[in-house]
Amino acid sequence: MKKKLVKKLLAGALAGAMALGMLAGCGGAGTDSKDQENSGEQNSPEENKDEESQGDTKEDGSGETDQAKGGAEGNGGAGGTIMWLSNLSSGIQYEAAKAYAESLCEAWGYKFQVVYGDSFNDPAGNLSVVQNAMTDDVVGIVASQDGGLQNIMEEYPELYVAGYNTDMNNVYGEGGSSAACATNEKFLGTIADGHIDGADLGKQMFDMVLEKGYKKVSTIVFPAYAYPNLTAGDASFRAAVEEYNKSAAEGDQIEVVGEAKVLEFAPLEDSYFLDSANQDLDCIVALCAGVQFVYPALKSAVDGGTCSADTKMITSGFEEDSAILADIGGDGIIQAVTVSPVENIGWSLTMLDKALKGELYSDYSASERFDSLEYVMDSPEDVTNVMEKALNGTKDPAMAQITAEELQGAASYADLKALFMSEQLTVEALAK
Amino acid sequence: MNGTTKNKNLAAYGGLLLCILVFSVVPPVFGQSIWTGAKLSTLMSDVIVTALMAVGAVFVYSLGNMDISIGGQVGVYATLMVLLGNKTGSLAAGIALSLAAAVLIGVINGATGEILKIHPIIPSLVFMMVLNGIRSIIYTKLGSRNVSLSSVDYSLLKQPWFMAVVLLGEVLVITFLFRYTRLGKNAKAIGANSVVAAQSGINLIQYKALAYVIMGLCVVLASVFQMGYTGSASDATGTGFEMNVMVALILGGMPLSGGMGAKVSCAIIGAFTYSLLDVGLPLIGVPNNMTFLVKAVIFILVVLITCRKRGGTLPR
Amino acid sequence: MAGKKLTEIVKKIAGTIMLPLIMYLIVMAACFSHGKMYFGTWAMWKTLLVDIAVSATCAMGIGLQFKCGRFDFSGGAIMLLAAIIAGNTAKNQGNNVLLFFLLCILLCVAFSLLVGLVYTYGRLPIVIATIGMALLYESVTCLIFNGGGINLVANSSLKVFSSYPMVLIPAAAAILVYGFYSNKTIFGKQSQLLAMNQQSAVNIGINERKNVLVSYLFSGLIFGFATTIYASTGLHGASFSSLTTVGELFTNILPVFIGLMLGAFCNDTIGILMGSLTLCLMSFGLTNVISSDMGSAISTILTGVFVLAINVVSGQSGNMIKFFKKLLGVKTAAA
Repeated sequence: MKKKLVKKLLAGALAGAMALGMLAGCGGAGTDSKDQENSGEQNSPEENKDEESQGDTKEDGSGETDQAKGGAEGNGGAGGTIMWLSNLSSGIQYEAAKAYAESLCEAWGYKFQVVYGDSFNDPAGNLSVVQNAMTDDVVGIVASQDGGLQNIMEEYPELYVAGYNTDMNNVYGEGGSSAACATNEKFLGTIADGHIDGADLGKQMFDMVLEKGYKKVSTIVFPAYAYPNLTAGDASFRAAVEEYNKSAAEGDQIEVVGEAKVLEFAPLEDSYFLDSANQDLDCIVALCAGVQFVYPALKSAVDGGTCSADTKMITSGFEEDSAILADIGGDGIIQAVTVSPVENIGWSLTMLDKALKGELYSDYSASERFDSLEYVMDSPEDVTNVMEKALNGTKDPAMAQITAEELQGAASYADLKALFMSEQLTVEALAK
Repeated sequence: MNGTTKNKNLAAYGGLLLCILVFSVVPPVFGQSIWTGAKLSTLMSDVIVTALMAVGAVFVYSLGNMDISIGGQVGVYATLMVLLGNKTGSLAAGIALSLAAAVLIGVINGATGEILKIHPIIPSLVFMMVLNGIRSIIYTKLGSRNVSLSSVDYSLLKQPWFMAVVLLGEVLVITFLFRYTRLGKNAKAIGANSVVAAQSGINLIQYKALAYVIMGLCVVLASVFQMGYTGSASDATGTGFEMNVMVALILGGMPLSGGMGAKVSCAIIGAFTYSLLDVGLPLIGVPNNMTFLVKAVIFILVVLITCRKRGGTLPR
Repeated sequence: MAGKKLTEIVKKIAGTIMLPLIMYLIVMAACFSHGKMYFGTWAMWKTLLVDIAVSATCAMGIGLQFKCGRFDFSGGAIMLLAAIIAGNTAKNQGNNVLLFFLLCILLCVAFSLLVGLVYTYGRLPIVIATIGMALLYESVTCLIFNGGGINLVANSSLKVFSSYPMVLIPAAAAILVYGFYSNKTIFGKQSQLLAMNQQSAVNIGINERKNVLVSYLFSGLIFGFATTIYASTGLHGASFSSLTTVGELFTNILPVFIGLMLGAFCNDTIGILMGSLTLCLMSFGLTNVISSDMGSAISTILTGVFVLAINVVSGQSGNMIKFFKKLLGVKTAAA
């Protein structure tokens, strides 16, 4: 009886302590996230000078002045932790990006932390992941997921955010759920994974089909509600084919078989090639991540004789598997594959570093999203060059085509962008 | 209370106490603290949905059943609330429709197994598939992966104090129903021995249906907070929630065979323990990919203490 | 007498194949009406055989425990972890097929036995024990081989078991092991007694712990065969969210329910095969017939409805027969 009472009292005391602690968290959803923790630094005059952050907190309506972030905005020093909200958790791209980012952060005086974003880009999932991983010393976020970005920025209004490997459709797209981020001064924009505009992607694919001389092709995409740019890409591809066919000779015309096959985040089924229309294709244009989602079924069909042995694929995605790499270019099934250079994360980190030091470029006026260059691998030599000489393949920061010094040396925002649009970040540069 | 039950209860509380102790003592070594407003607010946000669902699920689990359609229900209810909220300017319509749907689903889930003489998990398996399909269709038709509230003020739903008050209110109501009403007593009796319960005059269909309905209503409440977390819902909302509830209840010492050992406190203890691990492990420098291993080991250790059957045949 | 026996046999055969046959006819009609004339061709069957093999072998692994009264949540995690270790190890050893095959079997047996040991010596309720082990195995997948999972889709050597005719080897082996355990071993018979009345079975001297461990040995073997096919039918990433592999249980237990339903007509081994065949035919039909945009969603809903219908028919078959007999004026035994 006595022990029961003690147990109940203990439980009650614990619950009370927790409740009191929670009530201490009242006063807005997490807007005081850094306040209590950094109360020792609250009195530093430098932090209160920052008009930017004062303006931000007033926009949020929290009425609280911004606090130091451990990274000491405006006090001339770097430091703190940069968090990467990653859309990858493993694989060669992930390891290369992590290694490069860690080397840059180490050079610039930051720690680098990776958290795995929600695999469905669910806003609640991403917010939860960031909240759980958030520590006092986080000063900025590299976001590869845009789900819940506005909620994250509202929760942590003093943090700078820069995008990497995402088109930030939720921010810049029409009716995006995080549209407010576009005008938030703490949001620094994003460098996308290849083309933002699906029309450009479609045009790129058409150019490849034309160059390779394919006459009978089909297209495969992800669902429009999740990847509207791929559907736009498919439309653009078909429009380009139609335009071409108007002036092409009879034997040179390109036939696009049927409607675009939509993969609902499951690999292409083997029965796709049972359809006679798909058994003698010259090429499958996989606007989705074809290496993961289309290649397995195509390889099985070619090996099993269910489809023509000459059926090829052009797509995007990068796998370290030696058997897949050996099947790119030449006589391989994958005739062209595109992948964004991992150096792109350097853009995001540079922008964060500049912002944290209060040294944002004078010609930087507002956040934007822009296309990134891509490695287009369509020959075994390209594959060898990427695997042996590029950061993407070697995962060695020393092999990066853009160095930390070059990033810091960019005198303006235009110069920084130009670095990521330059020829030094291409497969051809690797061959030299 | 016999020694075994006493030890089990102490062990269940012990798991929670140990987590509190560890995360109070160790994070300061790393320059972090869990006892900050922000972290406790995070903890509350992390635990509220699971705790609300788990408390309601006590009724179903006390029957010796489990409901695997919870995730699908949360996904659909949250979506309805956002869509109707944007249409009507208020969450009331969405909540009302969700409550009606929850009652219907609860009745079907609870009664069908008994009436049609099928395994009780079959109706909830069917609902899991149907609701997941409906959710996918909704988002395909909307042409977007997620939908957000545009004109409804949901800031109250993000306040930790409000979460605590609602959770406390639900716990009190469910505890009252579970411990002091015929509903709770009959649910436990059915879980202990359904044949004896039936022969004692308990209407199995009625009480099973009621248990699932109560759980369904709690799931609606949880959906409100899930939606209110970001003011949005997506095609992935609710994924895996049924397993979160199961893990929380198990960690809290809930006997999955149901019966007299079922307690509402199991839900609270388990939900808080699991969320403490989520929030606390990063504070002590555990890398992301190691947190799963740590949680799995702690789960096994806790259940070895709380759920171990001594003597007799192997537990089922 | 001979006539009666023949009638019995015909009835049983008809009852066994009725469900997949009806499904075949329905799907054939749907496919042909949508211009999918490849339905029923040998090419289609070669493709479908792989799906049936995966479904049936996984179902048997889960079903072996299920009919012993144990709801095992760890099957998916066992297969995933074994696939990752066996696949990556075999790849690193020059795509050694034999090594891959043996590792799949050995690892699945080891992981399965470990689950059995935790259950029997930990004396935990089976759901709790298997959930705990599933969490543990899934967490390990994030730590090994850089959390990269396994990708054998382009590996012609190691994915030999995921295409016809080699797929028949692990599938046949799994069926033989399941049938052998259920019908030809003393442990299989004892496990049925334990399932029916655990206390009585123990009272008559059955060593429950030994029986359970042997059952996990056999289910591990079956999962091992399933893994040789499963590992190369697609990309399998590490599990970075809790209990994502539990979905395998809920998908692959459906043929088991159908197998139980067909128990009146045939052995449960054949019943599970018929269940797998039925569900794979249905899945094939839905994938090829329903429009792409919402195809997956509608397929999921229809599969759920089908599962419910099957179980209702199974549970109410007695009442339904009585009803039809009354309707047709046929005298029942009671009358």
